[in-house]
Amino acid sequence: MTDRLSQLLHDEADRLDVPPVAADVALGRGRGMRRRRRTFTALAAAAVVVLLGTGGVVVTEALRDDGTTRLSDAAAYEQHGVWMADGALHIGNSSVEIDAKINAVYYTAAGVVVRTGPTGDHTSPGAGYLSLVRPDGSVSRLSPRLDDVEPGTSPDSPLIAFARPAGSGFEAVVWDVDTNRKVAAVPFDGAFTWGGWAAPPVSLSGAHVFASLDHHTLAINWRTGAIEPLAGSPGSRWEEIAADSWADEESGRVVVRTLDGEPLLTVTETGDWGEALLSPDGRYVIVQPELELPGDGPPASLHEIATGDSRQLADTEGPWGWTPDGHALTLSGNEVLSCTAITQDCTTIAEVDDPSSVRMADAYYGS
Amino acid sequence: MPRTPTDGEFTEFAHASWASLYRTAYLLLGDAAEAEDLVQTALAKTYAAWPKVRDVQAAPGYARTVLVNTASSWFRRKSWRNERPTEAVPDVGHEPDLSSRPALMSALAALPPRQRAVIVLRFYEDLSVAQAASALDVSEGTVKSQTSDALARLRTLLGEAVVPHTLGATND
Repeated sequence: MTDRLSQLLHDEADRLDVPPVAADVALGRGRGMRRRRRTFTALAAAAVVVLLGTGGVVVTEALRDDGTTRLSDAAAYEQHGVWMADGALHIGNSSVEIDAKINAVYYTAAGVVVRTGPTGDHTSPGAGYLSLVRPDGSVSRLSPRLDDVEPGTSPDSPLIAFARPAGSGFEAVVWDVDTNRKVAAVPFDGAFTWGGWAAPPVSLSGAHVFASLDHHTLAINWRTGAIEPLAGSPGSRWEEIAADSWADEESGRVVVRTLDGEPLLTVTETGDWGEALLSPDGRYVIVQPELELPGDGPPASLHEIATGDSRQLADTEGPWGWTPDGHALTLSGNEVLSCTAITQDCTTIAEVDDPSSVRMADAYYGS
Repeated sequence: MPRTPTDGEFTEFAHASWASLYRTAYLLLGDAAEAEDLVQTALAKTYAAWPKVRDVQAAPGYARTVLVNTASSWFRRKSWRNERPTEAVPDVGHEPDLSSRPALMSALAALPPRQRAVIVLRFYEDLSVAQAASALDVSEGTVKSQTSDALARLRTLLGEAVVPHTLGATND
C-alpha cells in the first residue's frame, strides 16, 4: 500500500547529484572527536547491597570534615555528591550496588533517584524503573514508571516531576520520593510534536513544573494549578532550568535569567550555538559551544553567575559533574575530587581502581 | 582475536557508503549542504568509534544509525525549528502532478522534522516500526502516531493516489 510513496522517495533519491566524497575530512574530524568522546556506560551489578569503603574503592580521610570527625551522611551527600565507579554507586559515605543497569540519576533533597532498565538507554522500553538511594545508602523502589518521558528534579526538594499523556492532553505529575506518594497532578494541553517522547520533557524549580511544548514552555504551578507560558521561551526545546535560574540558549549567546526574565549573565563566546548546563544549585553554568570538533570555535567555559567569574575548560578536563551543593566533581588520575568550581580548590573524596569506570552525577562529559 | 580496522579500511568504507548516506540525509533534511554536513558528521563519529568496530561489514549499519541519531539531535535544537525556511504548501483540491520533482520534496518539507524522519525511515529505508523507533530513540507508539499524522498530511498534499486512505489507519 505504500508502494507509490516508497517509489517516489527512491526516484527522488536516485535523481540527486551526489557531491564528491571527502573521506579525508571525515577522518580528520573523527580523530578530533576521539579526543573528546565520553560516554555514559550503564553499570551492572549483582544485588542490592551496601558496601562501606570496600569493593575496590578506598574512602579517604577527606571524608572527615576536621580530620577526626566523619561527615554526616547528609553532609557528605551534599558536598561529595554521587558518582559511579568500579561497579558501584557512591553516595555520601556509602557505596551501593544496584541489581540493574543504571541509565540516569537525578539529585533530590531526599537522596538520588536512580533510573534503571535493561539497557543503558534511559528512553528505551522498560527503562523507567525508579529507586531512591538515600544519603545513608539505603535503597527503596519508587512507584512511578517513567517510560519514554524525561523528568525534572531539584536538589533542594524531595520531589520528582514528569509529564504523561492524559485524555486528549497531558498532566504534570509531582511525586514525593521521600514518602513515595503523589503530591499533585495538574492537567495541561498544547501541541507537542518536537521531541518524540510520549509527553513533553519537564524541569522542576520550586512550585513550578516547566513543560516544553511546540510553541512555548508552560510554567505550571503545581500548588495552585495556575498555568502560564514562560515569558520569552520559544518552545520546541527542553529549557535548562535550575534553582530559579533559566539558561536561555539563543543563537550566538547564552543568557542566564531569573524565571521572571531578568538577565543575570550573558555569555557570547558560544560560536554559532551554545549549549548551557546549569549546576543543580543554579550558581554556575557551563557553556559548551555546539561544535562537532574541538578547535572549531571557542572552548567550553564555566561561569559563576553571581560574580561573572569564569574559566575555560580544557578539552582534556573531565569527566566532570556536580554535587547537590554546587561543588564540581572531577577525576585526577585515580582520585575522585570535589572542588570549588572556579578556583579549583579540591578535596580528595576517594581513590578508585579503574578511573575509566568513573561516571559523575549531573555530568558534563565534554562532547 | 579480531583486530581494529585500519584508516585505509575506513577510507574505503567512506567511499562505498557516501552516496547512500547522502541520499538518506538529503531526504531527511531537504538541503544539499546540510545533508553533506550530516554525512560528514556521521562518518566522523563512526571513525571516532572505529577502534570498537570489530567487523567492517557492520560499519555501514553503524554509520546509518549515527546519521539518523545526529539528525534527530539536530531536530531538537530550537534553531532547527525556528530558523528553517518555512515552505508553506497549500492544501490541494486536486491530484498534484508528481512528474514535477518539487511536489514530493515540498510535501516532505511541510512535515515537522520528526514526522519527516519517520516517513523517510519507514518508506525509503524500509525500516519496521521497532527499527525506526530505535533509530530515532523514541517509543514505537510515537513512531506509529507520527507515521499516522505524517501520512494524513501527505495524503492531503499528494493525493489519494500516492497515499491511499487506508494507509496509517492501523498505525503499523
